[in-house]
Amino acid sequence: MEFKITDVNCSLGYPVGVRPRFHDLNGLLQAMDTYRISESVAFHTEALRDAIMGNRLAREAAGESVGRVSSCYVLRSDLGGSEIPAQEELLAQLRAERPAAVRLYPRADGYILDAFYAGELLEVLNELGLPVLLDPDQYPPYESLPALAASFPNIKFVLLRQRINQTRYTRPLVSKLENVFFDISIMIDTCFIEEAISKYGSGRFLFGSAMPQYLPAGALGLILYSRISDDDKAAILSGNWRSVQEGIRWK
Amino acid sequence: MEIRAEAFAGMPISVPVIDAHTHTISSSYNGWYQAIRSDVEFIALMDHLGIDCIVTAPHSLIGGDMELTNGITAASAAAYPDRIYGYIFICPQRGMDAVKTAIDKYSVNPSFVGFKFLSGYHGSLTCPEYDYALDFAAEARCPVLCHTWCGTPATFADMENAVKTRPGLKLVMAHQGGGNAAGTDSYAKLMSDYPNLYMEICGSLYNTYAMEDYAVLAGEDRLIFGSDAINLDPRFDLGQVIFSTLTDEVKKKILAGNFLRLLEDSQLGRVSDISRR
Repeated sequence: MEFKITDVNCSLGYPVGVRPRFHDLNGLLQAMDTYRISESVAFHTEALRDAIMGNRLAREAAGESVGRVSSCYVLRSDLGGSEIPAQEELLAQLRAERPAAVRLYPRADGYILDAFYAGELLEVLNELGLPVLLDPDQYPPYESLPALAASFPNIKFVLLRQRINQTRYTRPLVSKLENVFFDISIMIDTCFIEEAISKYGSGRFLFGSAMPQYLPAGALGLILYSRISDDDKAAILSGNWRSVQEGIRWK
Repeated sequence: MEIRAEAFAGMPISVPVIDAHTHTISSSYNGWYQAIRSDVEFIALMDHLGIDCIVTAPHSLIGGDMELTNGITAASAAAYPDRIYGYIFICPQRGMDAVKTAIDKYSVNPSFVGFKFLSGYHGSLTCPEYDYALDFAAEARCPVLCHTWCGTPATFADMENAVKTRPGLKLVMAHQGGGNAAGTDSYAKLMSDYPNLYMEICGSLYNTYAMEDYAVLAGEDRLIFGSDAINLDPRFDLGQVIFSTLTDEVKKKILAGNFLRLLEDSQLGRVSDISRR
C-alpha cells in the first residue's frame, strides 16, 4: 500500500551554526520526492530573527510550491510591539494569510508559555484552533503542560521529536489530554508506538523529519514497519495532520 | 525487488541482515522503556523486519555481572540457534581473575563470536582487564564491540592506543563513533589512520549525518549495522540503512557483509550461513 506522507517538521533557510543539506524550496521539494513525501509544513529560519520577514518568506515559498508546502509561522508573545501586531490585527492577519501552523520558541525568545506571559497570543491561536509546533528544547515543563492544554483547548500542541526515555511522560499525555500531539520521528523506545496505539489509538501521532538537519529514513522505518493497521499508518503519516488542519476555524 | 522498494512496502528485507549491536532482556534504567521483553518477542520482531540473526550482550551488562550476562546469552543462543549469537561481556570492575574466567568459559562456546565492552560505565579502555581482553581478541581475530557516546567514556586517545599496538585487533566502535556529527568526524579521522577500526551505526537519532555520509566518512567496507535493540527500537536504525539512497550493493555490505568479513578468520564462533536469500 502506498501511503500519502505529510511531513510536519521542515524548514527553509539557513539554521544558525549548521550546514543544511538544502536551504531553498527546490531543495526541499527534491528531498520530499526522494522520500515520497507528498506535502510538508515548513517555517523559514529567518523568522527566528525577524518574524515579519521570515514568515513572508515561508508564505512565498508555500505559494510557489503549488500546494506541496504549507507555511508555518513563527510568532512571539509580545503582541502590539514592533514585530507582532496587537490581538485583533494579528487575528485578521492570520485569517487572511492562513498559515498551516505556528511555531513558538518561548525559551529562546525569553518568555513563559502560559496564560500570564503569553495569554494574548495563546487566545488568538485558541480562537483559530491553530496548531502550535514546539521543538524539544522549547517544550513547556511537563508539569505545566496539562494546565496549558486545558486552558487553551482548541490549540493542538505538537511536541516535535518527542524522544526516547520519555514514555512515562508521553503515556499520560496521550491518554489524558486530547490536544497534545507527538511527532514520532525519534520515539524509539522499542515497540512503544505499537503499544500506545493499541491502548490509546493513533490519533495523536504525526510524522515529521526535521529536514534539512535530519533525513526521514529512520522515521519512515518506525512507521512503515510498525505492526499496526494500514489505517493507523495512514493516519500517522498524513490523516491526523489533515484532521488538525480541518479543525482550524478561519471564519 | 530493490531493498528500498521492499522498505517502502514494509516488507521483511530479503537480503541477509545481521544486527551486530543488541541487548536482550528489558531494562528500565535511565528512563528506558521497552514494550517487549522476551526473546520470543524479539525473534518475532526480527522476523517482521527480515533480520536473520542478532549478536547480543543482554541488558544485565549495565550492572556489570559477567556471569549473569554471559549465562543469559548462552541460554538464549542455545534456545534460538542461528538467530541469537553472543558477545563475551567483559566488566573490568569484577577484577582480572573474573575476566579470565569469563573468557576461558565462553570463548569455547561457539555461540560467542566476539567481545562487548561497556567502557566508561565500567572503566577506562586502557585498564589492565580490558588490555587482557583486547590482547585475547587480537590473537583470536574476533571483533570487539565497544561503547562510546559523545567522546566519552572511551576517548579517541584510548581507542587509538588499543589499535595501534594491536594491528590484528578488530575494534568496532558503537554509535557512529559518538552519537553526533562531531564525534563521527573525530572517529572517522582516526579510522583513516587505522584500518582495523570499524564503525557501528546504532543510536543515530541525534546525529545530523545520514547513512550516505557515514558511508563516505567511514568507508562502505567498514560500516556495521546494529540497532541497539531492544534498548532502542530496531526499526529506526534499520530504516536509516534501507530507506537511504545508497545502492543495494553497499546496503548489503552494511547490513551483513562487513560483519561476516570480520568473522572470516576468527577463532571464536561464527555466524552460520545466512546466504539463504
